[in-house]
Amino acid sequence: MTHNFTPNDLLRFLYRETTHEEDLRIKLWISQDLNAYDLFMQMIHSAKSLNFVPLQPSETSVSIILDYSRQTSQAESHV
Amino acid sequence: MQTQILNDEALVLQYMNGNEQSLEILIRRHKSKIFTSIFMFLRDQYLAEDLFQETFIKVVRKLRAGQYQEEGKFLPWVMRISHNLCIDFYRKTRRTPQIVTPEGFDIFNVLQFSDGNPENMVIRKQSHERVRAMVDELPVEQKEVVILRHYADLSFKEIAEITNVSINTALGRMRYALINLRKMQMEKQIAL
Repeated sequence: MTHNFTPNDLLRFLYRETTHEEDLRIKLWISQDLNAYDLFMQMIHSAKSLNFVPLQPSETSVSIILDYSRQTSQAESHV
Repeated sequence: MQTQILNDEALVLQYMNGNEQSLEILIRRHKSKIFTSIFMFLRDQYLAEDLFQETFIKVVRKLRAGQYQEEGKFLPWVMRISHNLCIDFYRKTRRTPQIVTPEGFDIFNVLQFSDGNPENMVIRKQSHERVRAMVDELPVEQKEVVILRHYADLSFKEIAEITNVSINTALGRMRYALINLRKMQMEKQIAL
């Protein structure tokens, strides 16, 4: 069976940007084509290596923004 | 509270109509993705805090000035602002990211986002530095796509728009980034 997918399609599949129909066809492709399977596994390993716990800005930063917003809002309402 | 279940667009509208709490909800909803992305670009906690604040101060000004016209795309819009600030910062300080070398990093473990297991927190803190060092070694175009896709959670289409390239170019850059990351791992003879 001939597939018209490219490595870029595998990448979209990895990041869940493919349609349901594409999902099914790409899964079939991966299950039937050893090269596609190997490439997809390499992509998974590399992408997983990027994972770490998400970072958070400090509460001070959030407060500074909110204070700025309130102050400028009040200033504008007095104009 | 009712506003907590509103989508971004409704919150933006409420904020533009004077509801300050809506801005807080928007910030808390997206702060992690935005801050992590800025931090990965700048590699400096304090600078990242500054640019995070600057990003949202620009957001406030633009919303007040009626310059938000991207319905349904609040996060990509904010990411575009923060991304431009990061690029400006690079230009001013000439902090050019390094080209790939096999040195200076060590992959530790395969980690997942949003896994709250406290037993792994120490490991994650250590790994975070290693991942950051690895991303830093990518060519700047690849690093950019990796950060915007993997940490900011933007689609390749949105990344293409922000970075002024085609979707295929954005996808290609991500693909080469993953290949380079794999090479780095292989060169270090580390199996994930």
